[in-house]
Amino acid sequence: MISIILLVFAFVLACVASRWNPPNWALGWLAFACYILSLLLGGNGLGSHFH
Amino acid sequence: MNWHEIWLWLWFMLGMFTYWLKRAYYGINPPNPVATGYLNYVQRSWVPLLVRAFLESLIFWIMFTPGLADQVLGYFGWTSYASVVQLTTRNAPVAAVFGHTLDSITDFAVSKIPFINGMLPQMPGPLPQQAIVQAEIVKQTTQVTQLQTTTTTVPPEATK
Repeated sequence: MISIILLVFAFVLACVASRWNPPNWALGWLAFACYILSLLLGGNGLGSHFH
Repeated sequence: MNWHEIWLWLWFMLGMFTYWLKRAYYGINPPNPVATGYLNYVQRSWVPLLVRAFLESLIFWIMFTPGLADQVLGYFGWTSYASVVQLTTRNAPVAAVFGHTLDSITDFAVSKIPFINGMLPQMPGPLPQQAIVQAEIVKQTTQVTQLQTTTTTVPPEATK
C-alpha cells in the first residue's frame, strides 16, 4: 500500500515540479526518489501489487 | 518484501549511477563542458537522466515478469539469450552490469538513433565558451590651433 502512495506522491511532485519555468530540478529528483522507493518497498517494484 | 530483489534493484541502480558519473565527469571537464560542476550537471541534465532511468527501470521490471522477457527475446530470434534474463534477475553483479550497459545503450539511442532522438529529451548543449577579444584602446584628443571670430546680432527680446 505504501508503495502505491509513494508512486502517487511521486506523480504529484513531478506535476508540481513542472509548474516552474524551467521545471524545478530539486522537486524532479525528489519525485524520482519517491518512485524508486515505491519500487523497492513494493517488493520487485509494483509487480507484487498489480500482477 | 523480498530483500534479495531489493538488493538486485540497488545494484542495478548502482550500475546506472556509475554511467551517470562517467558522463558527468566528461560533462564538466574541457573541451566541451555542459556544466560548471557536478551539482550544476544534476541541475541542468535532470530531465534526460530521469526519463532514461524511468524507461530502464521498466525494462528491468519486465525482466522479473515470468515469461515476458523470454518472449520478447524470442520475437527477435535471440532465444539463446534467455539465460541472461535468469542471470540478471538472480545475481547482483550481473544486475549492475545490466544497469550500466542499458544506460549507455539508451544514452546512445537518445542522441544518435533517428526518431528516438526526436522523442526523448536530449542532454544540454555545451556552455558558452569564454572568448578572448583583443581591441585597441584609442584615446582621441582635439588640439585647438586658432580661434575664429564671428559677429552676430542678438534680438532685443532675447536679452530681456
